[in-house]
Amino acid sequence: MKVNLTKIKELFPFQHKGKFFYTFDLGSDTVKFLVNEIDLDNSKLKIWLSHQEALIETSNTQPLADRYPKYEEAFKKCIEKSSVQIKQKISEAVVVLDGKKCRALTTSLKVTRPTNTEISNQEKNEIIEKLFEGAYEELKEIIESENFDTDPELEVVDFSTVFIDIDGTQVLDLEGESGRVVEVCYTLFFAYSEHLNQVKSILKGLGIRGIHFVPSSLAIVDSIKRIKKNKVDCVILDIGGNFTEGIICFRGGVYLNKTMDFGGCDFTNAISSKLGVSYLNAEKVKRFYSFGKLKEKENLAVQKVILDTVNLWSCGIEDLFQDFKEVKLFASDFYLLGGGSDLPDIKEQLFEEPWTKSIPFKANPVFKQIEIEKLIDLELTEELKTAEELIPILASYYYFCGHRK
Amino acid sequence: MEINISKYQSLSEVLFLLMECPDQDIVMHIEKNSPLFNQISNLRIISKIASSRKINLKIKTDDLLGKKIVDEVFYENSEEVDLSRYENKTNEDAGLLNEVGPEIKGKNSIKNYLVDSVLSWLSFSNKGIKEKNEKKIQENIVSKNNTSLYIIASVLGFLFVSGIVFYFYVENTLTSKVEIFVSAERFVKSQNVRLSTTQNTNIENRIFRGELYKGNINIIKDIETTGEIRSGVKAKGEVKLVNKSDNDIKLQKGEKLRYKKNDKEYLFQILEDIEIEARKLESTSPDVYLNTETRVDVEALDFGSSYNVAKGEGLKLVSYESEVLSAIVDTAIEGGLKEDLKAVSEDDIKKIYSLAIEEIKSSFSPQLISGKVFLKGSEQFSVVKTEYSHKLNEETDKIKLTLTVEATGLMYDEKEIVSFMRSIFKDIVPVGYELYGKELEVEANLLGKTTTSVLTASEGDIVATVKTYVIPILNTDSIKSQISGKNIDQVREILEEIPNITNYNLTLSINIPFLSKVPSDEKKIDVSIFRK
Repeated sequence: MKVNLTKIKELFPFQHKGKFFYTFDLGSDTVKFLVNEIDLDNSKLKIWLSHQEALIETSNTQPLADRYPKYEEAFKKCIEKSSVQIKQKISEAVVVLDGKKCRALTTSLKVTRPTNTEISNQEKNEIIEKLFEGAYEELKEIIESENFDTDPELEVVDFSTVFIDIDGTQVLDLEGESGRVVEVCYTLFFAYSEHLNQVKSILKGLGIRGIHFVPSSLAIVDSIKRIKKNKVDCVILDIGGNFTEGIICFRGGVYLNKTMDFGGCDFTNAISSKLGVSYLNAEKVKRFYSFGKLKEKENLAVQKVILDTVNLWSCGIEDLFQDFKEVKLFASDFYLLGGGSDLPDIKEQLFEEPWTKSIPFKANPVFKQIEIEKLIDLELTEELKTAEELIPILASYYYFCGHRK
Repeated sequence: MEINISKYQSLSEVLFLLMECPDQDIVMHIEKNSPLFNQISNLRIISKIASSRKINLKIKTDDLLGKKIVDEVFYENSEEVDLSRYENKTNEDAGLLNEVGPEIKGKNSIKNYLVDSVLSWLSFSNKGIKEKNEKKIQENIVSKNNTSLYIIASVLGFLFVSGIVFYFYVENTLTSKVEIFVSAERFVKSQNVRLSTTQNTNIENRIFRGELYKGNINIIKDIETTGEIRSGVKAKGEVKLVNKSDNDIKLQKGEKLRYKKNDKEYLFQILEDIEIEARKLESTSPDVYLNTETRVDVEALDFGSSYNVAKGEGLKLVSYESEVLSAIVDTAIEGGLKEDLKAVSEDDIKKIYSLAIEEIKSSFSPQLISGKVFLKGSEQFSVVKTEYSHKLNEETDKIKLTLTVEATGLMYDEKEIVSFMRSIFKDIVPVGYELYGKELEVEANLLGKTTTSVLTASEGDIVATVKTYVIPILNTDSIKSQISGKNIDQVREILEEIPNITNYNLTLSINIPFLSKVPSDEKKIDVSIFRK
């Protein structure tokens, strides 16, 4: 892969025409949808509408390729809903990319320069391009070890700087600095080209311009950094529909993300098959259970299924962590996100499970929450109802912050 | 046990299957393009769960990427695994002895099965060294060919005779069991039915013949008494009665006397009939009278020392004024003593009765013969006999009640109601399908007595709910006839061609490599249908 940095920068211009934009988060069985407004006068992001559109007749084992027609239908319904409620002509959209569709990797590159001269724009670009190329090769090896795919078609959709050092001193930008030993460390986000093309094509058909693809791991980590106002070391588990994504965050960058094919839909499926209710009803039962609204007898029956499923899920989580082979010590700050994280038993059982003993944490892991209310320039018209809504909101916010730059 | 995993089954479903599977040896056939092959970690997790349950798991698949992943996960540490064969492999039908690992099904299934059988016969359990073992077997056969012809001829002769004997032995004792698994849909339907002991079963009118249950229940209940009775000794003494009138006064036994002390009044009675003569004129001018005095025994009306009265104290007769007839204690009234004792109160009798009835109702468990089901809620109770250990106000710390109650209610035959409900629902089961009998349960709940439903001693309206699955109809006799006398691979082919079968288990009572076949006698073949 030959990387052209100028071309990459054109990918994410953070330029929009209107005040409003949509956010689409494409899940396993739903499309989560937001209508956002950039309030230029008060420098605020307002989220006017939050909606989830269920994908009709999908199963969590359906290949992604078969889902695009369903996504298109869902997009249409979301836009119709928006036109009824918001009455604004909106023609731009941000699309969230989860860990199955976008891989993150942090790579560093050390360069010893022959002279101590000032670094030009051209030299800076050459260094960063080299780093991007190295990252791509490294990620290819990781993907091959995961599924034997030797030639994944990937595109860089975003990147973030972890640190830039010149002769051991941290600087903000290479350009204009002098020194001999240059070390740069970046997190790069690579998305699968096929997915990007499919989504762009759907949006184009609907007369919508895709203004940015936001990796969910980047949106999450960026928000945590803004709230903590510091470099962040943490572990994030995002329990999505049909998979759980593990995100290792190191010095504010996403060190690596990996997925395990076991998510919230599997809990719903287990309730459906063990208690003999339809999938849709099982989803309702799961939500009622999460929010403690079931009667005692029903609650006990559901709890048994959930606990059995949590046991199996934990086995997968242990494997997921063991698969981060390069991580010697995991940070103890632990963020649990996604729809599945609403289940109380997951939090209660997660650190009780024996797997935590085989995984080296710096200290006893502690659950942390993304205190969204601390993002003062974010205004929600309604309170968050479920954890599922958080990630698209963070993606909108990430786009908004990028736009302000 | 063999399990087929379709491309629609997720990792969690497979893990649940492993957790719930009772067998320790599992062969898992994973369909091509299964999402399990999306990443290696899926099979790694399956392998970990299988190991934790001590399951000997073998994975088979036609998926090329899947095979690679299976080898990576399951045979990663085996020295004998030759991963390079995947790189060189261009033909699916490559040499059989080289085609090991996950691939078994397909055109070469018969020969593959033989290889499998040899390995299992010789107890080679490590799948990773399969190829090496096959070569060893071939080498052994070659080396045996070098032994002397004489020995070979003798051995062959012996083997021939033994083989014939053994063949007939096998033919006579061999039995086969086929468990067929079919896909099933959950079936839960309810129907209002009248359970009647007076009318015959009528499917159209939704009447189901029930039976009357009758049985006696005996219960012995005791409680602490809460009543009190007074006991003790009544104070006794002697009173001097002084007649101050001109008339004789007759007093009958029981005449009351009153004594006041500290604003309290105490009553006594005289213990015998008595007559006190009128006063007598002793002298005249002036007239001087002499009052007449008579002594009589008195007794307090109640127990207690408070009735003790000292000599000389005055009492008053209830029926006479003191100016006419006065009374003075002549011999101290004493010996009074009071003691309160526990006894049966009216409340105790009511309470023990209601407790006994309540206990009978709450712990009612009809004694039924096998196959009969009592209709919960139809029970009625009538008291046959009550026997209290003590009467009202009788002194006792505890009262015991022996109660005999007759319980009546409605019951029905379990098999008959299943058959009745099957008849009711037969029209709504799709053609070619039937209700799955092995897990068919009928739950009957009483509707109760309302304006639209009936509940009497002889009949009651119920809602009967059938819970089972709907499965495709398979003709087991036809299957027996098709597979009788066939070898394993032929049986597999036959079974795999039958629509709606998701997977199957085939067990032979005697399993001998090269000779494994299903008995020719259909009576020795057991075919059972199970839902998946």
